[in-house]
Amino acid sequence: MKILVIEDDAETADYVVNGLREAGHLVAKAATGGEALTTAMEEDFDLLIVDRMIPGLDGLRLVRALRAAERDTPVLFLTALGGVEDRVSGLKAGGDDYLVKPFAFSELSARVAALGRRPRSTSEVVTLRVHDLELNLLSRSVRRRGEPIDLQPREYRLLAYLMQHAGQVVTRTMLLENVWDLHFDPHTNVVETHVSRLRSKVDKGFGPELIHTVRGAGYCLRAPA
Amino acid sequence: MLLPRLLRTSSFRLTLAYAGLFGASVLILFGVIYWATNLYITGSLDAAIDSDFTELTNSFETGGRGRLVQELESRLREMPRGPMHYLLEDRNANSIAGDLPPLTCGARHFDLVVHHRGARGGSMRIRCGALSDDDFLIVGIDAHSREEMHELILRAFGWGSGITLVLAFGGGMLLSSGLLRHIEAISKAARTIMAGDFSRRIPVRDADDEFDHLVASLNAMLDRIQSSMETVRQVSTDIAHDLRTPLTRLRQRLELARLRARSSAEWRAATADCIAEVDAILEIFGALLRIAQIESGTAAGEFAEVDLSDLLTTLAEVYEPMAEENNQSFTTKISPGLRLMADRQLIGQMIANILENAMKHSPSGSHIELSTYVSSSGITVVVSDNGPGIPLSERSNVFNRFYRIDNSRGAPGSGLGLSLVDAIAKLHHARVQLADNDPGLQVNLVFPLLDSIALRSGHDTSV
Repeated sequence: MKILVIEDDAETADYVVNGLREAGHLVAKAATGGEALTTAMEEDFDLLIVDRMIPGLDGLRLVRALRAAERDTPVLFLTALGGVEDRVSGLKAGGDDYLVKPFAFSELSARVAALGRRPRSTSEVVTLRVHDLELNLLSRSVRRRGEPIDLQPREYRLLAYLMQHAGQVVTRTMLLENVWDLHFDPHTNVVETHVSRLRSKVDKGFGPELIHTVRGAGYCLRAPA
Repeated sequence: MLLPRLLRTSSFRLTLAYAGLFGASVLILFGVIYWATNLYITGSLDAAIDSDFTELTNSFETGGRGRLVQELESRLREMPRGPMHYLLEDRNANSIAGDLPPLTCGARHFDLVVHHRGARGGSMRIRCGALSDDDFLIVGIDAHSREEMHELILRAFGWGSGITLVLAFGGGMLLSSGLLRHIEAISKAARTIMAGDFSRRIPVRDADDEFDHLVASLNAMLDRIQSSMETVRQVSTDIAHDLRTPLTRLRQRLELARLRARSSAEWRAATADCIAEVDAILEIFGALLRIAQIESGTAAGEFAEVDLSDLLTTLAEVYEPMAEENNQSFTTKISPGLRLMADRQLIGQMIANILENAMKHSPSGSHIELSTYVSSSGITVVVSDNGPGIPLSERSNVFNRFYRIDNSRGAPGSGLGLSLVDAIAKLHHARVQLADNDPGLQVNLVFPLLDSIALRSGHDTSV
């Protein structure tokens, strides 16, 4: 992916840029809002990682300006402003995801992957398919090897999210935010419990495992190699 | 020094403006009186000379010039000093009889100013008329009564406006110096407070006027500022204190790693421990920031209708694994269809903190329940446990930042959970009540009916 990192703190910028480069992305960086706007308008990026507090044009105004110019490049806010309303204002300005500093690099890299390969229009997709696992978004039914699997509503939402991000690492925080709609850490292993319950229904007795635990990062649902 | 300040006060300027306005209206009033009086006096003078003129015309008509001359002379003998004066002239303005200097007649009635007439002098009202081709009669009357009246009116006006101005000036000074004194008292108190004496208040005079109201408001503001400052001071002390512990632990771990770690696996483990410790510190900062942000009230802008029943069900699901892990039984009694105007994330965080507290502080084998009920006072969310509870004496303290009950000091936690609960509840106008569960603790979150819309579905909302 071609990513523009907009961050004025040199150390943080290097940390993010080097990490993303090691993960195989093509990364450019900008330290001020004005510089970022010019670069983002001139070149085509797959993702912008935007700090909210940058000199010149601040992050929110930068993203608003880009959206006004009909640039729909996905935006990930990476910021120290972690209040509930900060998140809301960020998403309202046109951000696609919001990650609060300090952050674990695995979290950032999972979210970058999720944003980069996000299908542009999910409305046309009715059936998600990974290997021999099938999920129908309309009838909310799940089958593996053609056999129907009975899931609780939460388990269904969890599986749908994992399948929408098949092949990507999905972190515990991403699951809490998107499956449970909780933007705070409840300090329980509810995610682990549900993933293991889902595993016992989806993976147990069906041959190759599809739901994998990625140590220190999260989970990944992928077809066997 | 005081006088120029007095003259600059707004009340003084206002008084002067009023005095000016009042003076202008007095001027107009006196003008009208002057004009009306003049009209009236001139009218009566004219009436007097008119009737005299008619009488004399009759004498002329009955007895000719000789009779008239006789008549005039006899009148002037009787009253040599006026008020009536006469003159009979021929066509060439030669005086035939009378005491007026010769003059040419013009208009029928007119004013004449005579300078040589005795000590008095002054003006005269005159009537002219032709009795025949060669006889012109002029009748005059002293008009000093009119002048006296004019003088009287002018004097009255002078005194009146003079006294008004003096009163306005003096009143303005008096009023302004009173205001200045009050304001001076307030700014003096403000200066003392600015100089650092934050316990000082502005004196109230018990007059129950607008000044007292202003002073009361200012004092209330000072109380609020003082309590906020004290909180800030307390919090910064607490932060310095409470961060010392995790920072000390972090330092120890780093030092141990430097001394003891040999293999890269050992290094990695030590680093992971340190990152966990730093995360704990960052979480304390995060919680403090959140509390501050919530207390500042800026988050209230994002209120929306929240399906409380759904949120509670989600939270119950989220906390079930924790109860299971702790060997505690966890039950719920959640009414369907409860709705609130609230911030979903904040309410969720608040109830999560209470549930987490209950599970963390209750021993294994305890029972924890999350339930709701609706009453006339609103929607109540209840979290009850049969753990150790909170002693009555501690209940008011547990909402303070970093406050921890002695017997829970060993347990993990920052002492910020209930402060956050308190701040979020206040933002939502909700009450947090701690009650005895005999044994254990019961936390009641009461959301007043004011903010809750459409309770209980079942019949009315069929979603």
